[in-house]
Amino acid sequence: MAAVQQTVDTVKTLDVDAYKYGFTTDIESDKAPKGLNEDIVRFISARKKEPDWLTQWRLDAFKRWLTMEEPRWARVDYPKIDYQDLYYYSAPKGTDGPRTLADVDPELLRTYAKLGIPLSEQEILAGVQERRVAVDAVFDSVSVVTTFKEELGKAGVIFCPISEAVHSHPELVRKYLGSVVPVTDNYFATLNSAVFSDGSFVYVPPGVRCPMELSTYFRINEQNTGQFERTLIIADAGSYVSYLEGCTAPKRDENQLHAAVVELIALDDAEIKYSTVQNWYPGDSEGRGGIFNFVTKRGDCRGARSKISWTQVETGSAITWKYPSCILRGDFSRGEFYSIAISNGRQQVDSGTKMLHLGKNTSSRIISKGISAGRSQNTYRGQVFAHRKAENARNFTNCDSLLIGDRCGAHTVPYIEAKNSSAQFEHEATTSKISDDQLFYCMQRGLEAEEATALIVNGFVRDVLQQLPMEFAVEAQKLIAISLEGSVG
Amino acid sequence: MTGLSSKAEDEFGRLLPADVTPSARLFFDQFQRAGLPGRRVESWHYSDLRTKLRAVPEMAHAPDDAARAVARHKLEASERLRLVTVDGFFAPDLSDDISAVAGIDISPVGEAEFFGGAADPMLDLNAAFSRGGFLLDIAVGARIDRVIEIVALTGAETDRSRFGRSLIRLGAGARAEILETRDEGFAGFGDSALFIALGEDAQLDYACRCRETAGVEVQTVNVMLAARATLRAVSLLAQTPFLRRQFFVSLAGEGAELKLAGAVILGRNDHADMTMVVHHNAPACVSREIFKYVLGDHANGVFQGKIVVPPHAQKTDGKMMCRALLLSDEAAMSAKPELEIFADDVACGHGAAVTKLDAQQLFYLETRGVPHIEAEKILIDAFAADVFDALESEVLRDLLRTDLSDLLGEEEPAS
Repeated sequence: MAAVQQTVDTVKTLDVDAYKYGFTTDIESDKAPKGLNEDIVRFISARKKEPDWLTQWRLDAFKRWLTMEEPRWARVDYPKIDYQDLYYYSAPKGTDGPRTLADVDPELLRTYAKLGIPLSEQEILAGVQERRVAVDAVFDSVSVVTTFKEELGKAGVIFCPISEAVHSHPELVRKYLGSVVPVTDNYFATLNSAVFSDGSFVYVPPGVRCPMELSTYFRINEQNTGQFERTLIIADAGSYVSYLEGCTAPKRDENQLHAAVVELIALDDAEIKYSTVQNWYPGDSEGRGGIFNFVTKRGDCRGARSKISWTQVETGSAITWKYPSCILRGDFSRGEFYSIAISNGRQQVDSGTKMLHLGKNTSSRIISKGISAGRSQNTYRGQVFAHRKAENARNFTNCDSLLIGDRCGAHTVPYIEAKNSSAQFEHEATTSKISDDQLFYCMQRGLEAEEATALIVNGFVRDVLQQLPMEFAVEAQKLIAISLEGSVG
Repeated sequence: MTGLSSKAEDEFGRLLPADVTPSARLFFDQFQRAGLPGRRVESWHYSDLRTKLRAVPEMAHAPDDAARAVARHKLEASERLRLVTVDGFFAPDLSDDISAVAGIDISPVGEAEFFGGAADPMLDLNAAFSRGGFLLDIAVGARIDRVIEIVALTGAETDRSRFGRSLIRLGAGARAEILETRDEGFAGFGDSALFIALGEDAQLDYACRCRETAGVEVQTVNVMLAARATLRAVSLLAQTPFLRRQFFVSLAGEGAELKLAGAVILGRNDHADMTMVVHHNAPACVSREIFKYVLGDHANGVFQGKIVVPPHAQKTDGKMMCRALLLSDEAAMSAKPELEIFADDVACGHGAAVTKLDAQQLFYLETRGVPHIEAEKILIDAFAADVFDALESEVLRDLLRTDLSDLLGEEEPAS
């Protein structure tokens, strides 16, 4: 089938060798010595001038981490990580107070320009109606510049690096940090708790609808630097915030570890929308040198009628181990998970979600689209759980996989656990190539085979693309649609 | 899995006879290395044998006269061709003279005749301890009109460990209908294995009813299908205190077809786990799995299904469905339908749903004068009974349907 062949070809254009963000910026940076021990943890904490309670918090996490074992249950295979052979702290030089763009190292700005990150005036993307995007750009581990802070300040929204929030809003950080992903949660989250470098902190006060989409760009730059982002977003009663996260990283030979933790907290009637486009370096065609992405993302719908929605487009990383989850604690709360995971080359993806229904009348929806090509392995792993007291819990899960080529794999591992009779769970999953019936149906109505294929592939991921905010939809389409909707143009 | 061996594992070691054969020793070593499966083993997560099997009952021995007498007493008159086992041992004197029927041959089975089963610790344990099973051979091209019934009974001493291990073979083009009735009602431990091998174009309808098993029981069914062979297997599990019934299927020949279905009716503190791994090892094979659970009281239902499609198994068609009705607030259901796919030209899917009885449907029946309890029964019956359609044999289908109605009739479903 020519059309399928074309899709295969276009997917190949996404191939790892074509990774265009593989460059390194040559600027001096300030590093902690290699290895991990209590002194390093203290060093990181001291560099950030953290209060004692946080230093102790890190040390407790580190002690706990020493007793833990690296999880091996995911369907991913990678060489053993030598945690003593990594740097745990690296900060771009001269971060003491760039207040305007002019103060920022020009080399750094050029890097962002190459990545096409919109800073300040560039934030309004072509074709998008005038909307403002506040960017908290993260270069390696320290947030360098934060724009639109004032405008956000007027609305009362706090959006700053977490290292700053520790000083400016210690009560909020202390109250919420580690309250969704406990220090002891899992191997990588515990490691992150001990050595987290920086990340974003967002607090939206009661009743405030955040005036703009908040966005952050992560970029792993320094060679051999583990990147340990820590993000904490709190939406107070009746507020709304949409947060965008996008990632690109330069090309290099050694595997890089990325173990981030993202915590979301939605109080009564609040809503958080968290969107990710992840395009980290997936390694070369033999799978060497890509990023290891071991991320713990979890949202807590703590208040009644709260809502958390995760949307992700995963195209990069050599190994992905990522399960953005929702704890539906508040009555009538709602969790959503929309995902497109594309794997190619030798990439291995083990991703999915957890929906834990604890409150009454909670509902959740999972839409997962996996596309595997090349020699990649793509696994959906998800859990839907209803507690005994979770009356009228409802879940709908749909995970579809599309296979392109006969050397890749697509796997589905759902766990459905209902302990309440009024729970209503539905799960469906399919794995296929493009169906002849669908092609026939379209062609019968006058479409060419290629158009029909484009239409079907387009439709395959549309459910998820539609969930992305406008700004991100553009980037996401750049990333995947070139390949998947390529046959249209 | 773990370096520590639990008490139960040690006790199994103690039960191993001194004159154990080298192959049995090998299987036992394999079992010990893996350990008694429990929560920490992914495929046994929902059925924790480590906490369930604290002490291992004495081994059951080949039935003596007293045991035979007890077993004979339990047998009712039947038109079916009966093949009786007592405590897992084939009992020819209690069985009908099956070998007299043209096309059927029955004999004691030796370890060499089994085909390789799945890698599973409980299957290894079974291989280490089992003795005295049967080999049922259906000749090439034979068509057996009468239903063959395997009746698994227990002897006088009920608190024993039993390890039945038998083999059913159908030659090319043969057709048969087999009913298995497991009426063991014992307090001990059971770890049985049944092997089913179908030759090319052979067809088998296999129905199994399990009722009132007691204690802790693991049943393993290993299936091997040659090209264009068809197996239709249906299980009816009811009131099982702790049962794990697992199917390991290899669709080894091109165009083989599998229909696997089951109804699980539980109440009390019952636990039943249906686990299946279906390997599509040849191109163009078809598999259909459909399972229905009706769970009342504190019952716990488990479904684990996995369809595996290696790269060469193109044109695979696999569909898996699991539905559960929860009748009480304390009942729980865990379902894990998995797909593992390495070939691209396939159509595979699975679905799972957990709900309670539909209030509108109940209301509809009640407005037409059907009492509430009766209406529930009708809906439950309708919900569960269609899994039996997987069978082609009308006799077996009717039999299971009657069994199901009896089951629902005797118990007031909890509302």
